[in-house]
Amino acid sequence: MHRLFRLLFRAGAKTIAFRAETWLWLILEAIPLIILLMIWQGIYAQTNILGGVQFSTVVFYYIFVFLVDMLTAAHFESWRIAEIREGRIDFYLTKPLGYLSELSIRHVGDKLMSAVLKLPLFVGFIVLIHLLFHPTLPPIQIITLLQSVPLLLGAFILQFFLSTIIVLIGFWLENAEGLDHFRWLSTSLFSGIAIPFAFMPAGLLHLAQLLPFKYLHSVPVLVLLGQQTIRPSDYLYLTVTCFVLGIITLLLWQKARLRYSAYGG
Amino acid sequence: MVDKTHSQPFSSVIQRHLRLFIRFRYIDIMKMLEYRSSFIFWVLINILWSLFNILFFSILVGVSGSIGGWNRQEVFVLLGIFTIIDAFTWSLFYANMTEYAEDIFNGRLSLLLCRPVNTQFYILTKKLNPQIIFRLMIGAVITLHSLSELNVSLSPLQILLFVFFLMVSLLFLYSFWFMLTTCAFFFERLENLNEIIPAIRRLWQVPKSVYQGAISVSLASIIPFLLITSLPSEILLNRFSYPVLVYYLGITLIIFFLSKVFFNFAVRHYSGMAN
Repeated sequence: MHRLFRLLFRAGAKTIAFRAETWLWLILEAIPLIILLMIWQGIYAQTNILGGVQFSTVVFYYIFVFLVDMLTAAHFESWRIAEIREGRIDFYLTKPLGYLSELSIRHVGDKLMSAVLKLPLFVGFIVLIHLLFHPTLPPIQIITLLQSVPLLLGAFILQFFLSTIIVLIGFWLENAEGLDHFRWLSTSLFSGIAIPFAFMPAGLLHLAQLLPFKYLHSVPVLVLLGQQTIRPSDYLYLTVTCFVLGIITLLLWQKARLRYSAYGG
Repeated sequence: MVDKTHSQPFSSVIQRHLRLFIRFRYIDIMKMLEYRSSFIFWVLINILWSLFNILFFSILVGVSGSIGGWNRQEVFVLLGIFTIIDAFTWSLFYANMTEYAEDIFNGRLSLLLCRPVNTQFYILTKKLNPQIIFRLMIGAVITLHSLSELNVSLSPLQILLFVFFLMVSLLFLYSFWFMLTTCAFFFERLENLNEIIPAIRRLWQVPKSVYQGAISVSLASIIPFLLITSLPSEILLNRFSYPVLVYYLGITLIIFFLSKVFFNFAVRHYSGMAN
């Protein structure tokens, strides 16, 4: 346990060391959201309700999507794949702590510290949104907050496994970073990060409802907003998906470490 | 910074830079042939992103019937031009600016400064990913298809103005991006500096009339990001006004000049060591 905390602390320290970069990332992530809200404001210019959805609801939907993404998204694929390609993971193979453990602990430490660093900026961002768009906050109940916690945890694990699988494919593919674009595309289409489910065409909505990507953004956000009730089947589907992705990750790692060869380092 | 070309005739300087530009493209093609599967893979990704943009805007326009007073076909004319500019954003500017920032952080810029070629030219043209052709084609197809749906017939003047202002938009984008990346001289380590333009490029993915109030004034007049795609689209849709065109051209030339001045200023403060 002591070792775990030391590793978490070390990962957090690295994040603090490059805090200017962390803050700039938050701003860079916030800018497209503000632009998207401006586009929606333009769409809502003539009326306050479209498709039964108020503009305020759209604003808070995207704010919560941003918050959920900030807390759960994983972005370590690019440099981790480069590390594998350049043969710089040798020492993880000889240390008592395995590569996957190091990867996950570092990700958790980085995420925790990033959340702490980003929080003041996020509050400032909310104030800016309020000044720009004057949305009315929908009532949020304690029970919905509590229900969303396991969903957020599930989204975090899903994102982590998806990123780790892409990293592990780097053992086979020269340009595995490109797979990240397939993930972004799938997420953008089916998770509700770009288009709220309320505005999706029927065919796309049907597909999005079937796939597990909805648990990354849409479902946690709609639960937080009190617009969707969570069912036991949702928890079951999320758990099974995480479990399957976890198994795939372990299998890939078993094969990958046999394939890996490097010298020097 | 020393002007490395001032003593030679202008025509020979142009010829030399043109030859160099063509050599760089040979290298790009050789790289593409070396990693053929990678090339096909990225072409596929480019096509999928373009399709996603089309779907996304179809849904947005479908919600209310128009965006900022522009109907579906007009929005798609703009989206086509955005795709063309986006092709340059990713295949030319992003690739070269990323390397430029890395060169500054690693202290490798000294090598470029010593080469007998204009440094700014070298930084901009070293890489041009051949995938650009596919994005350009997609952009052109979206634009032409939307124009044909609108039954727009273009005059030769409109076509000339469109091509010219498309290049002005690229020059504006390049100059601003170059200035931004040049800020890397003054930061210790800020590798995501180069992600600012990709993050804000959604600004010009929609008509400028979408934006209101102070944001509209500042982004359409002071730093006219909103004109990057709106103005070429307005030329094609015959909605343009000459004073705005002249103003945009003037602002672009000023920003281009400032980018050169800022680069020279930054180089004077460059130690040559890794920052």
